[in-house]
Order: sequence, then C-alpha cells, then structure tokens
Amino acid sequence: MNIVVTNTITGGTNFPGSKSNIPEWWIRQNIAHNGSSGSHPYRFVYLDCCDAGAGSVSDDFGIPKEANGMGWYSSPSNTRHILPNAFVGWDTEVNFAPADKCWQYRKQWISTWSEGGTGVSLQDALDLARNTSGWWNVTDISLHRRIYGASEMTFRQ
Amino acid sequence: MILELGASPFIHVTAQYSNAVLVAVLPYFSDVAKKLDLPVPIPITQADIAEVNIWNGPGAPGAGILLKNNWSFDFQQGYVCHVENTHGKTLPPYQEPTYGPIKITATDAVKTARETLKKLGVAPEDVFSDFEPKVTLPIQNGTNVVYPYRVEWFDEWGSSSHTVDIKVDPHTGKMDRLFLLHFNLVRPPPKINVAPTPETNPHDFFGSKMPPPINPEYASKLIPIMFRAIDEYGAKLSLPVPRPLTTNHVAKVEVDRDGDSPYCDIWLTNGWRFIYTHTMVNGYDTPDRLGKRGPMHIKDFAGKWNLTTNQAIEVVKKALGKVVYPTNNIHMDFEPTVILPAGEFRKVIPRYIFEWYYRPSGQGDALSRVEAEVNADNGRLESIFYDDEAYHGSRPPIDVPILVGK
Repeated sequence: MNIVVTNTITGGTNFPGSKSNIPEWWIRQNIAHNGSSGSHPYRFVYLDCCDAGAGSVSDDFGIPKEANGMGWYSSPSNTRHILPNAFVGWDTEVNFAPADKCWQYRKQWISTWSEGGTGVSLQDALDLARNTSGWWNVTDISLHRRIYGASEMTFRQ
Repeated sequence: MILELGASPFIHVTAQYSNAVLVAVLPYFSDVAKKLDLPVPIPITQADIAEVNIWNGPGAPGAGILLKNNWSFDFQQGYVCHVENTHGKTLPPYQEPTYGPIKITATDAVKTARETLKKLGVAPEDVFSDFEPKVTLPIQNGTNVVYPYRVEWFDEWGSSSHTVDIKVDPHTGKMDRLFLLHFNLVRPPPKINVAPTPETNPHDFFGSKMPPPINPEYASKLIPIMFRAIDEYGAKLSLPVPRPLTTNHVAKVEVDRDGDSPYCDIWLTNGWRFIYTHTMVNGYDTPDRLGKRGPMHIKDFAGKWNLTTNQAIEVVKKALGKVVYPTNNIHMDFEPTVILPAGEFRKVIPRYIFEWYYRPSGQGDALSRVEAEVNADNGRLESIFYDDEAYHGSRPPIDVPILVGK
C-alpha cells in the first residue's frame, strides 16, 4: 500500500498479518452485481493491490476469465453480448516500493494507453511501462500481473 | 559513476518539442512502411497525419502517429514497436474490423509473420521467433470473420508477455498489426533538437503526487555506508566482486526512498547489481540473471537440469545461512512458489525461481520475503532478495534529511 503525506506519495508499506481485506462476495453484492440482471459488465477494472488477480474478482465485475482475446467478444460464445472489457490485477503480494518508481509505472502505462489514438493495446502499454519504469523487476511483473478479458483492448474501444 | 536521485520527472510537451520529436521519428516510420510495402504515402509527411501523440515520460523520446488512411505507427526506445491498420477503430464508432472469407491457412499466416520480421531486419534470436509461435485462428460469427489470424511469440516466462504480436488478414494474407517488444530491439534514440522541460502542471494527477527529489547531501553520506555493507555482504558469500568497493567499480547508484528510509540499487561496472534498503544489503543479481532489464539471448542461458528442486532450494538456504541473519527472521520452512521458464524454453533454460512469502496468519501482507533464482546447470545463485519487517525500523546514521527541503 502506498503512503500519502500532504498529497504526495512517500512510500510503500505493508501490514504483516493484517486481516483487513475486501472479500470477493462483498464486491459481488455491493459493487458489481444487480439482483435481477447478474453481474454488471464493467468495461475496465484495474485493482492495483495485492492478490486481486488471484481469485475470481474479474468475474464479479462481469469480465469473464474465459474471454481469451478480443475475438471472443464478437464470437457466438459471447452469449451476453458483453462489450470488450478487461481486468488487471496482481496474483500475489506486491511491494509498491520505491513509491516514485511504482508511480512512474502507473503513469507510464496509463499515459501510453490513454493518450494514444494509434491502437496501442492495454497489454502493450503495460509491457512498455514494465520495461521502462525501473519499478520492481521484469520477471515478477510479467509473472504476477494478470489480464483477464481483452488484453488487446485499446483505450477508445 | 552515475548517481540518480529518485525517479526522473515526466516532461512538459510543448509545441516546439512535439514538432522536434515528430521531425526526428518520421524517417523511422517511413523506413518501416517502405520495408513492409505498406499502402501509405512514402515518405510520410506531416500532411498525412491525423493524430500525433508525443511520449511525455522520462528517458528516450517516443511518439505515435495515426495517418489519415488509418495506419498507425509507434516509436519507443529507439525503434518502431507498433504498426497497425486500425481500420478506423480508434476513431468513432470504435469498432473492430471485419474481414473477408478465410483464404489462407495458419501455416501461411506464420509465414507472413516471419517474413514481416525478416523484412524489418529483426533477428529471430532477438525476439525468439526461432521457437514455435502461438497461433490463434480466425473467429467467425455467422458469415463474418471478426478476428484475424494472430501469431505470437513470447518471452521465456510464457503467455503473459509477448515479444512479437502479429495479426494477419485471413482474406489477403497481409500483415494487419505488428507489435514488437524486447530489450534486444532497443536502439540509441534519435537526437531531438529541442530540450524537454519537466512537467510542473499541478493538475497532472500522477505528476503532482511525485515526491520531492532525494537530497544529494544525504546520498553522498549514504554511498560509503552502502559500499561498506556490500563489502561485508560480498565477503560473507565470497562473491566475485571487487573489495573494497569504490566509485571506480560502480557504474550507477540509484537512490530512492521508502518513507524516510533509503531504497537503493547499486550497479557495478561488471554487471552485478546490489539492492540496499533501510540499513542492509537485501540481495544481488549477477549479470547472468535470466530476468534482467537488458538484452539477452536464449543461447546464453542454455544448459542442463543438473539440480533437483530440493537441491536448488538448498543453494538458497546455504547462501542465506552464510549471511547470518537472526534465525527467527528467516522463514523458509514451508514450500516456496516455484517458477520455471515456460514451454519450449524450459527444455533449454535450467533455471528455478523461488518465492517464500511468509504470512503467519495466512493472509495480509508478508512478514518476510525471500526471492531467488538458481542456475540449475552450475548451481549458482544468480539472484537473491531477502527482506523482513523486523529491519524496517532502522535507519542509516545520517544527520541530514533524505528529501530536499524537508
């Protein structure tokens, strides 16, 4: 977790042994679920915290884990006619230090993805930021970052 | 020795800087378009462009352009990393294209992908295209082909990150999209005739959150402390690095911080990297670490699986034992997460990555972390990182603040 002091990121901290958490059922019942129509299909969710990509949180947001690429959304398999959507989360504990480089990583992928009208995909933007931000290391980011849904989705889609 | 104090700032993109970058990168785009025989004007001029995006991040300059005929190009890290026929999908109504009837086979699509790389002069060993690709077949919905062939090559860790992503039109057999990403492709950036200025916009959400820079006086007092700590650490593990360490042996020191405590990378001229946080050396990477940020070729990591998992774990335990941490702060008495190179890479790259994240209550953040990469061919510990919350309260004996102006 990042520490914020007077609106500036100062570091990352851990809470060893903490039992604080947001369980999946709570997200499903209070954020992403409609009693009559089921899970509301969000278009994009990035839960930048420990373990969010380890379970089935993406499904809670209506972002199907079985959607393997953009083609799935236009295929007969997409029976709910969900628009292209994507979920990003980490499948393990993440060390967000040093905070400034972690912040660089965030800003870089968001800038690359959202400011480009050239078709840079979500995964491309995340990978570019992984290589250039200097945060953490390439192996761990590659292994523990999970993208469910349409990893090729462009920002304007 | 290069000294970096905190992360480099993002830049403020002025009209002058934007134009200078565009002038510098357009020849790269024209060159790629010519090599791939794309249906775009050559040379590409500013009159052909519908939209320009200038990279505002630190480091090498970058840019993306969208041409009026819907072809797009992106330039990062000294090379063109992305070429695509967007079919207008980045413009309203933002829809994916549809393609004509399938007229080519998967084999043809792979051939197109390999020929595309060859035309660009990309060596197969630089993007691992000498291995078998993953091919996603076209997807049809009724009579429409709604997704083209997709030919991908991945890095040594598998499906999470591709080195090459090429889409091939199933109707014409032509390349429809190309994305390339690997440190092997990075080239020196072009010269930009306008110097960028730092972004100071207070409304920039991310930029405004960046902390003040590291105090140079703090860094100058920290460096000898870190060098002595690395000397002691290296001696305990008999690491083949110079002792005593001096600035002549060091290529770069990156001083960051975590709260009011230092968080540093020390890069030696011989390629070794050490990590120092709080008041201790947490670990190192050898130049032969598989997961490094830099160029690498598979042949340089090839070997035989001579160590079992348990033998490799013993290598890690033995090393940590030599450093003599308090035994109650070492937590490796449970099964680690074991990560191996993916697919075909596993046959030729004998490396184990282990992760011991100690969560005494079974949840919450880890109290202790041990991460290691073991070379199963020669038994060498190529990377180790150890940290425990028990050490986070200590600070180096430095009498100036870690941040400027604090």
